[in-house]
Amino acid sequence: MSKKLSLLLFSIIIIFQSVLADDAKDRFTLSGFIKDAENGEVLPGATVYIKELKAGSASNVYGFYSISLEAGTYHVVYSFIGYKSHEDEIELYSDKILNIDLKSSIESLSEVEVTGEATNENIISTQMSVNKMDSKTIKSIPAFMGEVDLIKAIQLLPGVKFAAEGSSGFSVRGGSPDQNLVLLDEATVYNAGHLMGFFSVFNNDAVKSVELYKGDLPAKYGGRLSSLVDVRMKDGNKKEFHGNGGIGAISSRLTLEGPLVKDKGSFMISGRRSYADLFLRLSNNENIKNNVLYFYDLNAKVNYSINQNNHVFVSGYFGKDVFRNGAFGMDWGNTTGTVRWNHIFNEKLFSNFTFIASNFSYNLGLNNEDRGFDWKSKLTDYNLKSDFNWYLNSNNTINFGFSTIYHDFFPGEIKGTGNESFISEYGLPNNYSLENAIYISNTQKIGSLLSLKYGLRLSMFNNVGPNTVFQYDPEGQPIDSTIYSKGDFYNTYFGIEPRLGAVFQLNETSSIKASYSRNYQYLQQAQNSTAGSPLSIWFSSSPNVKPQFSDQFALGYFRNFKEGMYEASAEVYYKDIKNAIAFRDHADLLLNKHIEGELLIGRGYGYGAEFLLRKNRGKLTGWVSYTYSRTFREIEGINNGDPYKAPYDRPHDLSVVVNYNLSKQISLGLTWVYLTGQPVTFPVGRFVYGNTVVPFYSGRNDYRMPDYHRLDLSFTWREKYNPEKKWHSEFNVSIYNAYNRKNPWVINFQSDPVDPNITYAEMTYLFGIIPSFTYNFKF
Amino acid sequence: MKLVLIYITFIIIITFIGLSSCTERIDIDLDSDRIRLVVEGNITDIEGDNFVKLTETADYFSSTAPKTVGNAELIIRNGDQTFTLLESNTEAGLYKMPQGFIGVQGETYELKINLENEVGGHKEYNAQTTMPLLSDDIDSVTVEWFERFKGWSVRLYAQEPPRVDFYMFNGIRNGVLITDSIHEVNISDDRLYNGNYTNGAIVLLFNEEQLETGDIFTLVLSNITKEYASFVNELQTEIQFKEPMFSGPPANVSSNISNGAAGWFTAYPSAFTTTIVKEIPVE
Repeated sequence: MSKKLSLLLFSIIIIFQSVLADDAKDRFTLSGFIKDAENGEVLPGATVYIKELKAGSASNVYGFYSISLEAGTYHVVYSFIGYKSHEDEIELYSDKILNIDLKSSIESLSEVEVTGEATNENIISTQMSVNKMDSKTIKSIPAFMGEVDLIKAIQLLPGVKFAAEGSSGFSVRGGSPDQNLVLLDEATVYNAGHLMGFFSVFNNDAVKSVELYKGDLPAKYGGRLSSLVDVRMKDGNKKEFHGNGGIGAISSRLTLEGPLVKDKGSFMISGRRSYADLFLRLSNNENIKNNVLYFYDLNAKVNYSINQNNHVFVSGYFGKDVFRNGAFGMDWGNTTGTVRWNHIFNEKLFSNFTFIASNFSYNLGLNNEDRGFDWKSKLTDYNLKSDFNWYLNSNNTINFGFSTIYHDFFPGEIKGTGNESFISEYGLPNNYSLENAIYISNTQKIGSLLSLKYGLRLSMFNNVGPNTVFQYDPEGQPIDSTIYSKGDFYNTYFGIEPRLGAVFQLNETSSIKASYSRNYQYLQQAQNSTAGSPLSIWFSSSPNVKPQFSDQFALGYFRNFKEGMYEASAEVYYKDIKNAIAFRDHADLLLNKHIEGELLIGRGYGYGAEFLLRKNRGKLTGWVSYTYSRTFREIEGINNGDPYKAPYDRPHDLSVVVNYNLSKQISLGLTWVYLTGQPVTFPVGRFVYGNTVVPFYSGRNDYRMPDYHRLDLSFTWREKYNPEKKWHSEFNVSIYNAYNRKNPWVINFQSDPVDPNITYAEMTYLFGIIPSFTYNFKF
Repeated sequence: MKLVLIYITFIIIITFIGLSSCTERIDIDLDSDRIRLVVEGNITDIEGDNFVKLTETADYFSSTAPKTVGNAELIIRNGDQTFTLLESNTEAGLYKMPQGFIGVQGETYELKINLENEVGGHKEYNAQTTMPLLSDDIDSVTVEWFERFKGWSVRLYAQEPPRVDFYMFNGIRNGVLITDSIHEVNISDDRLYNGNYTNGAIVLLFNEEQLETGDIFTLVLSNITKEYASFVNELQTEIQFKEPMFSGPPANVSSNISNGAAGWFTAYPSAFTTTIVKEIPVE
């Protein structure tokens, strides 16, 4: 496979090389890295604007920019949100490397920033359906139980809804939670939740930024239908040693960062540990009192610049959740590791070579001398990829590369331990597969008003032996099986994934965008509950399970006001999912060898309109987002084959996020969310069998839960800034669900214990009003 | 095995939810659906325990006992034998097999119902079932205090046959059936100990109040069909507390009765093993 790939890559390069043979007269390239002046962190998506040409470019996700210009003198403005922009007069008569350090502007609360037309990246970029947040913004949002959480922040963006209250699972444009690709420094995070999903695995102190792509994934990414959540860790302060941390109601954290070699290399290490079990000791219930319940996570990153053209990055994440109740214990967690070599071939060719390993596993066990048991499940990915940014000329930027992932899934095994065990070993076999892709994409400027992005991703999926593949009858019963031996490539699927986009600039501050993308997904989760449990296993495409694929069309209008102080956008989309999966009624998903027999395949479709108004500067910042969206499934075997509302069909979704800097010391935060209640299936009748009242039901999801709404507030007090002092303190009070709205988490129908003939409906709500207090420090 | 998984689920639920969540009654408006016939038919290898009950479905919030369906003609065919069921004088809607009838392992039984008036759009309903073979190689049963559950565990010592079996476990205390509702029985497949000695596998669990040291406890082990096992599992799933982490969407339980009737016609043999409930060990 690698031979074919290199041949393909080589031929592509040759073609392009011949195309630009004429184009190399008197044009020179200005390139370099754009960084934060204080700590040396690179700034991704910073704008480089050439005043004379009224055109510009942006730095890539690694902070690198490259712009090709005719010889001459130019005034170049470098800018980035939250930073003071920097203007340089540049005489360009040869290729020039200019690294820029931008100073942060957090100290200034002024509404007026000298940025001019330069901060219009959202207007000029051909990338649509994307939202970006930095860790500072995420921190300003009132936090659930004081735990600042980027996944909860993402759920406030248009088009994104939480899967269930408090859950780390989320639905983007009507897709299910397993259709989101969550990457931490390019490593896949399979289960992004701690404590059953109430908290995410991301420690905001270690995070630099997060970008959410809703369906219109750049050609370099694939494998999930609905979204990409690209989380980047901080690189670490290259100039000085610093630390920060906090003590909160649920957990405490500490982050240390500093230079390894000043301005050349740095490290960042961040850890967090919860002590939620301390609260359980307050319970009167004997059973709950003695429980042990905690999670911890550790993020670490090291980077080193060997020279101007070679940089090495090593990052890792390790996290675990532990629960123990006497002899019964449960633990689960993710581990990821990324090694990346960034190589700049020349001022026009920027590349990365990355090796990643990701692992998610869980263990349950009963530690009993006589009759204990042990249940474990694990999945491991090994990923090798390379990515090239080729700044061909001033009108064309090409991105190409390849990726290969080896998946090793171990769905589960239960073993009896102890002397008198009654459980013989029962396990599901390992499942191996290869997911490969090559891609190429060009962003081309046509004239001064139109930009096109056209790209193609070719993906290929192979199942690899050893494995036993069953054939199933229409009822899902196994009728035959085929055995494959080790190393056998027994099934291949191909995906052709075009990624197209266009931006038409109406004027300097507004544009219209359109996009079309096709995505393939070869892995999915065996989950049929709304909130999702960490015990759900991931399974891959196979001879019985075709890959899911979706087509998404989107159209949007983008407008900036007052020199980029306000950003507004309106986007409509239509999405169609083929080979959508669902499970039979009463499917058995735990430790089931024949889980493929429980699958039903059909179609999903959805559409929506997303509106966003965002204020980026000044004392008052924040956003209002409103989404109207519908999503349906049509699957033979469910609801008599008629279309039904998908579990994430919640037509109205309104989020208001406001942060008000009263002064340099005091900030107030407010979040208000409103969502239509989720679709649900309720009983429409009952019968009695064996002295038990049994319900029978309406069509799937014919009813709705009551609407959900909630207000969160926060108050932050910072110690007056004293440059002489090393230690800075901050106090934060957060109130979750400030008006104590009892949002139903689930509605159950029960029989009265005294007279079983009497039935009633009962709702369970999770969280009333929850205040919490956090102390944060910086040194 | 399912027991273990249910316990795990239970612990997880009560731990995370029990502390900070609350439950309260809520008013919900529900639609009505059409009326259907409900059939509860049991053929066993015990005399007198062979009957069919006929009732009707009702609105979900109707708070009365189900309406019975009387004056129906019921017959059960087994090979070339036909039995007519007689309606009880004391309980309307209950039809009993003739005196002396005992179900036989391996035999197939066909139920035919002919109603006086249409229910659910039909007058005629059928069902069929086969009685499985009994796993009767049972050594003993013990009932011990299980500290972990703060309750009683019933442990089975038996040689499980190396074929595919499904079991239903019931418990009798001093002659009275403890598991008198179908949602209290334990259904199990033999996935985890197929063909092996069960070695004290726990087959039933009872609360502290349900048994006492010194009680005469009888375990009723019945071999049931795979379809009936699915039906009872589905039924138990549908009536237990659902929460968004582990529960799938609600769905109607299956039925082996024709023409859209609800319920089940089942046949199973049973083995009875008696023991005395042990003392609670002193710490």
